[in-house]
Amino acid sequence: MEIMNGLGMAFALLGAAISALLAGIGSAVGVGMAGEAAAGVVTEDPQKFGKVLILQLLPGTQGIYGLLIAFITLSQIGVLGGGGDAISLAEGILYFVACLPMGFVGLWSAKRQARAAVSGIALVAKRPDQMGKAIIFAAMVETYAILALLISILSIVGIPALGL
Amino acid sequence: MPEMYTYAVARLHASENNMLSNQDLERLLSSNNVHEALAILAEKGYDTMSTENADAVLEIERKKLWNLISELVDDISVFDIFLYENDFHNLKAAVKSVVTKDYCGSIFVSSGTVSAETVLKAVKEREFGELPEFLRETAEKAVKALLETGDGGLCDVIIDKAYLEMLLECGKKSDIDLIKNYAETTVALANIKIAARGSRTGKSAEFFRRSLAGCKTLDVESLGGCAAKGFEELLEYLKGTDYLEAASVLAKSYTAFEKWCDDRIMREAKKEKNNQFTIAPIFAHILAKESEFKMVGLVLTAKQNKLSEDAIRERLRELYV
Repeated sequence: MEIMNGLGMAFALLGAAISALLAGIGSAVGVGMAGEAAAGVVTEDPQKFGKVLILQLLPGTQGIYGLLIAFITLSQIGVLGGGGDAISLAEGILYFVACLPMGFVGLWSAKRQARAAVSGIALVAKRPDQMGKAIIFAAMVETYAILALLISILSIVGIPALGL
Repeated sequence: MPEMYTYAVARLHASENNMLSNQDLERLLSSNNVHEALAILAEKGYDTMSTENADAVLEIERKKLWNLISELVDDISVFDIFLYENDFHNLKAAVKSVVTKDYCGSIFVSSGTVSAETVLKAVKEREFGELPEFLRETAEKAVKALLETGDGGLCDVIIDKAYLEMLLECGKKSDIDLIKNYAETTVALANIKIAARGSRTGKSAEFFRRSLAGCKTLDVESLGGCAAKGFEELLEYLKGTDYLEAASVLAKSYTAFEKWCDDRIMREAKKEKNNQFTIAPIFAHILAKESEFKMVGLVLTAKQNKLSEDAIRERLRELYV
C-alpha cells in the first residue's frame, strides 16, 4: 500500500514537472524567437523598443501558467505547505493527467504564438501605427493556453472531492 | 533551422522603410537636376556626401548592401547567384581586352565571386586553371573562338550561354523555391530576349541553337526554330507557353518587354516578403535593392543627360515597397 501511495505521489509530481517543463520550454523558445526579431528591428530603429518588447513578451505567459499549475498541484498534494495526506495511485494518476493540458498546450501555443509575434514585429517595423492589431493577432493564440489553464486548474482542484 | 534567419529578416524588414517607394521615385523623377535628385536620395539614406557621381553613389550603396548581408548570413555563397553575372561580364571584358590588346580598366566590374584582376591575369597568361571551375572551360572556348574567328559576337554568345547554364545549375542545386524560380524565370526570359532580338535581326537557326540555354518552361528548339522563321512566328510560339503575356508585351515594344520581365521577377520576390522564417526574404531583399539601384541609376543618368520624364517613365520598374 505504501508503495502504491509513493507511486501516486510520483505521478502527481511528474504531472507538476511536465506542466512547468513543457510550458516553460515553449515560452523560452517563443520569447527567444520573438526576441531575435525584436533585436533585428531595434538595430535599425531603436525607437521601436517599447513596441516590440510587448510582442516579445506575449509567448512568455505560457511558462507562467505552467508554473501556476505546478504550484497548485504541489500545494494540493502537500509538497508545498505540508500537512497533506498520502495520495493514492489513482489520485496521483489523475493529478498527472490534469497537468497534461497545460503542459502540451503551453508548449505548442507558445511556439505558435511566437511565430505570430514575429510576424507582428515585422508589421510594427513597417507600420508602427498598426501595433494594436499586431498584438491582437498574437494574443488570439493565448485563448487556447488560457483554456488549457482553466481545464488543468478545474481538474486539479476537483480531484480531492472525488474521494479516491 | 529556419528560425536562424529571424533576426536577419526582421532587420531587413525594418530597413525596408528606407527603401524607395513609388512616391519617392516620382519625386526623384520630377527633380530638376542631379543635385536635387541626390538630395532626395540622401533623405533615404544614400551616401551622397562623398561623391556626386551616380555610379560611385551606387557602388557605395552596393557595398553597404553586401556588408549588411555578410553580417546577417554566415555563409553568403548562397547569394553567389547574383554575382556570377559580374564574373561572366569580367570574363567577356578580359577575353576581348587580351585578344584586341586594348586594356581599359573601366569595363570591369568589382563585385564578383572572383576579382576582375584574377580573371584578366588568367586570360592574359592563358592560365585558365587559376580561374574558378565554372569559368575555366568557357574562358578557354571564348579565347579560342575569338582568336580563330575574330567574331566578338560569337565570343559573347559562348559566355552568355555559359552564364545562363550556370544560373540554371544554381537553381537546381538550391532548395529555396524563390531561387529555383528566379533562376528558371531569368533564363527563360533571357532566352526570349535573345530570340526576339535575333528574329528582328534575321539570325539563323544555328545562331539560336548556339545561344539559347535549355530550361524547363520553354522548349528552346521550338523557340529558336520559330525565331528563325520570323518575329510573328515567335509571338505565336510564346502564346502557347507559360509566357503568354510576354507575346502581347513584346508586340508593343522591346522596352515594354524588358520592363515586364523585371516586374515579373519582382512580383515573385514580393510573394516572399511576409515569410519570416526562411532565407527567401533576404534573397528577395537583395533583388529589391538591385532593382532600386537600377532605377536610381536610370533616373540619375537621365537627369545628367537631360532626358524627358516620359522617356524615363516607360522604363521604370515595379518597386518592392
